[in-house]
Amino acid sequence: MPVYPHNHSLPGRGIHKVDMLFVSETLLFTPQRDALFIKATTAFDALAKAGVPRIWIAGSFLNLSVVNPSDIDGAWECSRQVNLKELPAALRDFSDHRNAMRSRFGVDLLLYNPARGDGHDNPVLSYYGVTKNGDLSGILEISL
Amino acid sequence: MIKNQHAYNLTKAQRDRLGARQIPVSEDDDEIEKLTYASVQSELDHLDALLREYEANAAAKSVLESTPENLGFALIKARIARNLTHEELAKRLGLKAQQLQRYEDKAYGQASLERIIKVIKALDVGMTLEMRIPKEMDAGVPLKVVPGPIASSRKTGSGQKETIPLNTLRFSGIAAAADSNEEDNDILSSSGLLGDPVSKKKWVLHGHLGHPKAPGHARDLTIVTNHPGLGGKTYSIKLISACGEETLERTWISESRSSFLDTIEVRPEQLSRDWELTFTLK
Repeated sequence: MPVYPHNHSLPGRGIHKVDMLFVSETLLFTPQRDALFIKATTAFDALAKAGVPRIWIAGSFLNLSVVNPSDIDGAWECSRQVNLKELPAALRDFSDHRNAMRSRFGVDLLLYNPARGDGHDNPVLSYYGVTKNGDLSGILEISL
Repeated sequence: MIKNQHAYNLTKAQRDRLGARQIPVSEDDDEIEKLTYASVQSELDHLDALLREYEANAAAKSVLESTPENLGFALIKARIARNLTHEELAKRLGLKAQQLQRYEDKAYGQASLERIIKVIKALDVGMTLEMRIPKEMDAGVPLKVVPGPIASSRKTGSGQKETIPLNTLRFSGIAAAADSNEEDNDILSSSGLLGDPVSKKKWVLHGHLGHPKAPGHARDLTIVTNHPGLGGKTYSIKLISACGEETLERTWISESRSSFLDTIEVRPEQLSRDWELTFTLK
């Protein structure tokens, strides 16, 4: 089943396991999106280095009708194997509506704690499954 | 910013969904638990702030104060305070609700002065513009007080009267869309400036020239001033865009007794690109 149903600008409902190549080929269709993702990749690399196994991408970056999203919303899995001290401070700074991580990396990432539920049963992923307009949206899961 | 009751209800539901399992942490909890809590709490705090702001806007019954930069947000707040939906206000303006939503999405950043005045009238709210002239500006350069009217007016292309505050340089991109029946096609997509151009002499502007719906049809960059000291003066314009740099020597011409304007043709390949414009008075 395709991630994006025919003629839909949002992913179909559910969690779609994809890779970075899918993101590059599907979502980087404007120079602004390209630049944003390059910036975010620095954060994803830092998360991978700290032992983060998975991230999820959600929000306007997944919406194909949004030409110039301001940031990349999502979450990263904070499991026991993650070395929190390895993470850049901006990714652990949740003050000021997470302004630090948005300005440095162009990302707005919450924590997915598996202890709070799995998949859409987790409040963070459940939160991202509905857009601000009330539309149901899928989210992307990427293994780092 | 939450702009209608429907969005308010959705945000409230989102907040409840996210906060359903938010358990307070203690000193004894490990770092992962503390970080998880802080992460979710930061979003809950943000959603709470949005909800409170909407509730305050809906309850506002008297005066909304605003800076010029926030005028667009003030108009949105006024619509909420007047208990008008997008559809209702759009109907008063003779627009489609989606058009009004597009204006609000950009906080009226691309709306013309004429459109903003129509919105204020349609909202049926009283509005007073108070301008305080500083005694000095620009690090001690004395403001030259120029006798004359507070503002002058000129006719726009559509025949509407438009007011230009004194001592103002106004830059605007003017689009001529192929199907220009829709009123919102005559866009203003660049910055406006307040100040005394004679004492400052040099301005640098950044902006985005073009029209989101008809980028290939924008054609002119118009500079208008009503500063009496600028009549007949020469100046240079340096336009830097993705296509390169171009410097032009220009002279103000008088459009009327009290306003001067110049129009620079912008080539199609320069449209819809970020640009920087330096204006230097000779």
